Amino acid sequence: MTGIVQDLTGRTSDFEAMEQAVSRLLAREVTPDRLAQAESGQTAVEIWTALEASGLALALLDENLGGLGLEASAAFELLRLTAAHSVPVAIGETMIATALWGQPLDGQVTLISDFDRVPYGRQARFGVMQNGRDEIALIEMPQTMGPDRNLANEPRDAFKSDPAGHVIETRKPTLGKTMDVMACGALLRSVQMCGAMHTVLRLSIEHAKIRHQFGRPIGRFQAVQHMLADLASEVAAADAITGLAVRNWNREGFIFTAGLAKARVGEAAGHVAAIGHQILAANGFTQDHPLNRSTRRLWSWRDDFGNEAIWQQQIGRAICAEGGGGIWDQVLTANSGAQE
Amino acid sequence: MPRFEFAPVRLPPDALEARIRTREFLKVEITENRFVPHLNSWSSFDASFSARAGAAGLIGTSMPRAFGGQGLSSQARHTVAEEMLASGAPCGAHWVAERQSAPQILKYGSARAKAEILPKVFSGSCFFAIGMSEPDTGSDLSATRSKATRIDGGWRLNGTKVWTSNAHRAHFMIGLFRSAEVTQDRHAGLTQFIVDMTSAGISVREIPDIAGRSEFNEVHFEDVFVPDDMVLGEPGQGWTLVTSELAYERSGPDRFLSDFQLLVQLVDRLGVKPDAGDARAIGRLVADLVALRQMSNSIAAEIGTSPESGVKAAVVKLLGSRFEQELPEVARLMVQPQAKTPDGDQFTECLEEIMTRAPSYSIRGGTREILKGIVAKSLLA
Repeated sequence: MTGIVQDLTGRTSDFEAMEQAVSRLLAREVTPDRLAQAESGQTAVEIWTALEASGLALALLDENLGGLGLEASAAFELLRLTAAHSVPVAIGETMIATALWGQPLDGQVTLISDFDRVPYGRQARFGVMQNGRDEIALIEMPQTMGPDRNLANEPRDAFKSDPAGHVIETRKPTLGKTMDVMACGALLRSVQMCGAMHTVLRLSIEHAKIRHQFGRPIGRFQAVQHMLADLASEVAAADAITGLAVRNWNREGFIFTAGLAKARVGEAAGHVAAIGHQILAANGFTQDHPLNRSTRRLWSWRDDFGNEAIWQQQIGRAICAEGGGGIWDQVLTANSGAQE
Repeated sequence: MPRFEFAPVRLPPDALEARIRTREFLKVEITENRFVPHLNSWSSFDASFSARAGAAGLIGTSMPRAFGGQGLSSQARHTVAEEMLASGAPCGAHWVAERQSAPQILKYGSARAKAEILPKVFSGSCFFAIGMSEPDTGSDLSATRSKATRIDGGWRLNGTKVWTSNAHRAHFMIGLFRSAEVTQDRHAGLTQFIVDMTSAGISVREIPDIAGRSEFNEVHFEDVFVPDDMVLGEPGQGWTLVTSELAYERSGPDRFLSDFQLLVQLVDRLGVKPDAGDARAIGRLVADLVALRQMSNSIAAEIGTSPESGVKAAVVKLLGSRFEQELPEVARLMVQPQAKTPDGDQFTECLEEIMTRAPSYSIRGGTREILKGIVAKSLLA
């Protein structure tokens, strides 16, 4: 199977075509049966194989290092799609770990930040971990890990022994030293939450149009209209700030903007999940309906790589250190991204 | 694809340069103690400040040079506006004129209206009021009852406008009047006029607001004459025009920066090493603010050019007013009362001012509920 992403980067940067191809792949491969199997603890082999073949894992790696060298905005937009489809594999972690490590790696690769809750720990072959300020380590994932899962039944496994004992190699990150693993993970989850929130928005709008009560679509009721407006507004804010962080990929402002994104998007995720469930009411509260696949991910992903409180605290400290007179310039710097 | 896209935009060079010029101007203003940052905002009326800002070329940033504007990008305008607001500058006298009245006249005014009025607005010496609301007409603008009757050479206006900020010190008002009988089409039969506030037949009664501030007014029109060339657009086109003016009103950084100075005061009060809880509260507010600014900047570039821009402006105003209203509620719980000093307590003064302005943030320029309806309609289309 030739890589979809690979195929299309050969042509003009025809992003729309790439996006459509990935969408078709996801619609075809991420079936309800396979999702159910993944939630029962099985590795989603077919889904992983299809994604790996598409070349998506290489999207962020430089071309001269064996990757596809996509713009960060394009790569993360494709990643957002995978999250909108609730893919139960570590595609995002692999994409980022590959870029950090600087070479293609075999199989699923995870990002290690919390040793007790490693995403897809028991499925991944390798993991990338921060090893001091300027260094990252490639870990050979152990045969056994303490299995655990999040609310979306995605593996979040614990190391049974010190990961330091499993280091294959250490190196300086291929990307700049601002690309700290935790911040990368924060950005990853922000992008993924945006994807899941878009699915919640789409499902909510559809439901408001087709669900009839009291002789009319519930979307005609002002209460429901206002809830939809609130939902869409949160999604818009989340998209905007995540886009800002993506634009700072591999630039000096990365950690700060990734933290801003994670803080704001995590907060949006809670609102969106709640509003989505309120609009879809009893229908959305069952396994018969797809809403829960997205909302359980929103509840879980906001806890990974630092929850809102952790990043808010970091941002707040940085802001206060410069005093009231410094707030505006710090905001400008955050928004300007790669302006200079 | 995102439902509402707020694409990242680069600020063009003229915006970066405009920021520098605005900061230079404001630096002098602050050094010379010409205004008090923590007590002012875009609603604070200061005619002499406006004159100085006009002289410095900071009013009409994106308006044509032919009329005395600086002919820069809409993003440059957004930049000047946000620097003003962030610094607490008292822009109230010229704010409405610059933000909406002048663009409206530029788009729909007669040659004479443009030639005579616009240069004065951009010199900071001509102020406008907004004539939309009436005692029985708030969110439902199509219920406008104030009448315009066709006479020789112009129109005769009768009726009452209310909540008219600064009508008592404005030179002109752009007013919406009913120029034809109500029919099946509720939006038909309305016309916008540029009304000279010195005209015979106009009487203005000040309405003190909840803090006793002198901003609101009731304006009574009794046989007020308006010449034909002070009609905006065509008679009967008023609904389209007022929609356009509201888009300008909803478009700027004032939708999320109204009480920025309170955040400045709060951070100063917390000091450089806040405890964990305080740091989190600040971090949360700033993340919200950065997202808002990102969205606001994004649509500054496209005001009026994209069909979706009105809905996106509504989204930013919804989120922005929520931020503005949360800020005093969060801030007040984080600061310990300070012993009163002879110099006063800046934080508390600022907080009290904001507390009595905050309810208006989700009312003026379109209530929160109306804006949510606009957003929802777009989603369900």
